[in-house]
Amino acid sequence: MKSISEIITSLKSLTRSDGVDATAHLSELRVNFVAPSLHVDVISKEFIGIDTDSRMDNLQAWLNEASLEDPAIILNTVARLPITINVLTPEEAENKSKWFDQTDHASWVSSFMEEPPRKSTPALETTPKYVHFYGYKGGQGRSTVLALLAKALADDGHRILLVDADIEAPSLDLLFGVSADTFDQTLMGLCGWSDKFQPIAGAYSGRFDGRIDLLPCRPRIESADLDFALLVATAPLDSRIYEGAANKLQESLPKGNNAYDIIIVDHRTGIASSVLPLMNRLPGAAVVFARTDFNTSTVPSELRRVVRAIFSNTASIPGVFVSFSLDPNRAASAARSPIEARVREQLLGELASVIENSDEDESANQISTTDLSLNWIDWYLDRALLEPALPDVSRLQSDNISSINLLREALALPVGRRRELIPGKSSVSITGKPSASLSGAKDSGPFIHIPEIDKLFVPGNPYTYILGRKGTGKTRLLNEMARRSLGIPLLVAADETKTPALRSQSIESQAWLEQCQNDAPTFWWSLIRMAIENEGGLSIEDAVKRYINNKVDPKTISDRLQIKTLLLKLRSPQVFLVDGLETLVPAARIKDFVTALFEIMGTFQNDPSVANRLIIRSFVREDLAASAIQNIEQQLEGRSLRLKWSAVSILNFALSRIPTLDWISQNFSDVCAEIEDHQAIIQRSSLSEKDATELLLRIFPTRLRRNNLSTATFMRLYFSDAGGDDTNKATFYPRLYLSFLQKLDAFAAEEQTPLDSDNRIKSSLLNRAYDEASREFISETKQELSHLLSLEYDDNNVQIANDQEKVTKFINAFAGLSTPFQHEAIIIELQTKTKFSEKSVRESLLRMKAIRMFEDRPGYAGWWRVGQLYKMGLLMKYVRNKLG
Amino acid sequence: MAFKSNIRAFYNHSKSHPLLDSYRLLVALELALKDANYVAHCGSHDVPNMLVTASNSLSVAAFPLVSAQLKSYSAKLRSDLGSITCQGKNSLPTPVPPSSYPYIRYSRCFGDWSGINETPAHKLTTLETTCRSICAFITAHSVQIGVFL
Repeated sequence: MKSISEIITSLKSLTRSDGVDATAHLSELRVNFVAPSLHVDVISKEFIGIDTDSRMDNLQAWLNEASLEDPAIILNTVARLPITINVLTPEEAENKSKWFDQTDHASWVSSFMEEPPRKSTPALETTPKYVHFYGYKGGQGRSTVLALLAKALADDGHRILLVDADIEAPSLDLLFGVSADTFDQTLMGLCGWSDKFQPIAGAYSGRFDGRIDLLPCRPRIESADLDFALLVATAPLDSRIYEGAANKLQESLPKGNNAYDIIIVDHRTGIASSVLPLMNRLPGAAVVFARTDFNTSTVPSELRRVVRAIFSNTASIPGVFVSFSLDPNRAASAARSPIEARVREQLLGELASVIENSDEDESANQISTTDLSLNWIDWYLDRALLEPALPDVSRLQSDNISSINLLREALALPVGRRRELIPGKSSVSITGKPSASLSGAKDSGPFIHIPEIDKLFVPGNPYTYILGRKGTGKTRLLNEMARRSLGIPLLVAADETKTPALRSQSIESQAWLEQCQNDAPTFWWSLIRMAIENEGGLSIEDAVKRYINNKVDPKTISDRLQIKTLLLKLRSPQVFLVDGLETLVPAARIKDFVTALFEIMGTFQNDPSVANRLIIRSFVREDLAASAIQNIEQQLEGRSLRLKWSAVSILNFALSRIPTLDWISQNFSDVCAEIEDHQAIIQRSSLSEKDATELLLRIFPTRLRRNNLSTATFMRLYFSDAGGDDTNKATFYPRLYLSFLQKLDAFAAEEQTPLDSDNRIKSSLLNRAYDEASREFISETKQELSHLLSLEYDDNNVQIANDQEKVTKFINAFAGLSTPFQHEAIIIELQTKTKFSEKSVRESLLRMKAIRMFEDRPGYAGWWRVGQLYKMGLLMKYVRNKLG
Repeated sequence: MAFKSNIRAFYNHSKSHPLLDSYRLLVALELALKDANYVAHCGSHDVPNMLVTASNSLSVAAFPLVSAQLKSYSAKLRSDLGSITCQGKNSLPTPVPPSSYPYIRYSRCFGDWSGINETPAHKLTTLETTCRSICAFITAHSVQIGVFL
């Protein structure tokens, strides 16, 4: 069987005179691709006046005359292969071309037909800029480099949209740890599954208000699997599906202040049908990943055609090759092997050829491949990429950091920070003197942005489970979100007074709980119903009060179907914020309430018809979330955010609170002035650890006398629950830090000689302030422990008034006990001291461990130790070599 | 008699036969497509290409997947027709030209040609299934496509 190219060559030979006859049989041969088949128009005057069958017979006879062809090649070819042979007279051909121009240019077939490549017209520079990432083969690091480039750009304040067009194996959502719940948020939506366009906002939040939004290929819900398979099966037959999607994307992109700066498209490997239509309709630069480790020094012909097609379709900027080296010892300075050098030369030659073809000046000189040496970028194996999460660019090895920078330059992307910061988002001023206070609810100091948390300030972001340990700023965060109108608080902490919501221990919340007969699902569904009907009118607390006064039966307003109907009628989607779960109900019932809330959230998540109508963002202590429901990991995947303060962010937080302290701001006015100068950077947590420490050490002494500890170490060690090692699990506690600073300020004001010989605050005052703050932290913890612990006496006759007193008794019992300790032994000691039942002591210890008050002693099975943060507050005695 | 099965299929129209059913459905499709002005350029019986013309006439923005499915059916019909062996005008076995379905009338049905270049029975059944699917699809999307069966 001949190939189609050979058959076309045979037919072409009929357009030439053989020298014997004066004229050739065919006047013209036209080949074009109209999906799903190749159309070959065979045009001859000799077809005039005869029927189609006879024309076909003639054509076959001419071929047979010209060479010893298969005697039935025409019939066999059209019967077996996707090719249509149209036998036309010149007049018929002219008529056909007048109204039948449906050639599919943006297809691999059309691209492969052309030799040399068709003249491409350079597209005009567009805003936003489009960049297409393509690799003929997979496994070359394409998506990883794409994600890292995007992060680098977002960290410089640019707004990026990533489009996952790796149609058959999409993965960008997994790479960023986010997922789409509905078709509106996906490329599939643009391909016909939805009329809306709502990419996942804030998949990554960079510095200076930069961010990455993501348009995944498909929703990550099981019910979308079949749809996904259908798209993959049908779309290849009609490239207009992707062209239509690209058009819709362009029409739907936000304009003005919300516009994206750069849109990066991750393409499918090979000659997938989606690649060229999207590139053609979204003109920009292309990054082609190329392997150089062939066994031969010749680049396969189809790869050369592919490269040519890619660059012809994205000719506004020449484009770049990225070559991934699998050699772990390969460094940028290493010489290329001869084979690799030749492959590189050939591929750059293809790029040069496309650039020449797109040059409007016909007399332009040939472009040398050496002129394009910067269009070839090497990428190296990197240990930083072995971590489960995508690392920051700064953590890559230096050669790869250079490669990212080169990539930006070669693609004509901005190499520095965005010139104008996006207005609106950074509008929080830290000028003035906010009154600092102890609790998170009452801390009115400036809000400090942690990069991870900034994602929450992007409207429509996918994070609905905001988890954090006690004192990591959940309440403060909710407050800030409410202040920015990013959600309506539904339930808030007991001491939260700034937001009009139901407070967890208010008379109203307790009365409504009673009316719900403490049934958790009824409580949540009824609360949601009230909030939906309210639509931001009354405060939820007032709405609850009205329902209580009207003696409404909660069951009657917690019907799920009715609530769904109400949701579908909403004028605009609603976002509710839920906090204060820890103090809503007594410890024994708290799990039921978290479980019920998470189940309701799961219900909304998994129902595409309402997923975008109602979003509940819950702020929950992570130990409560961990065991709330079965398959919690699955429900939280891509939707949870952990509040975690790193060393650099906590130091920026500390600096931001310094000007709010009366005595310190009076006595260290120069430091405060410098802090004010850097306030914008500090507010974004962007002042380096080194610079922040330097500033603090102009107020604090270099060393602390107690333990002879350097103050820098103290600041890293004593406010974190993992000794400041900044692992994935450790976090710093802003509430403790704030309390420490306030105590220090107060003690210094009281002290007659608060400064040492170096004019820094005395070391002893720092120790005293820490001890006090730590005790206060424990005291505050006690309030939450009264909801967390369920302490019962062995003797039923013993009666103590309330849970708070029981917890105080239990906490006091730790004073003087040794740490580290044997778990089983301390149970007996505590039981003896308190008379609480063994079961309740055991359970309480486990719950306290869950909130990191205790931790395992590494290397000693059955041994625990007190958490760094609680050592001082619990007054336990540290005993070295306790094992003896 | 070489066309025994063919004659029986067309003569005994009260009894279902994949050849008869495929043929009548293709005639109906051809007429309906022509009626909507979806013509092909090579041969007046080129139903696969008429389907492509119909697909390309659709507004892809409005019905992206309807258009793709029509092309998919076109490819399937082309392949199914080409897989049937018929008796050519030169009295030699030849594949049915996809651009001219009436050739299926002369298909060399299984059992009629002493096992030489016969069309396996399942090929005709496959063709019939394809024709039924196309008709069902066009009926379901008649308003969008503008073709009425």
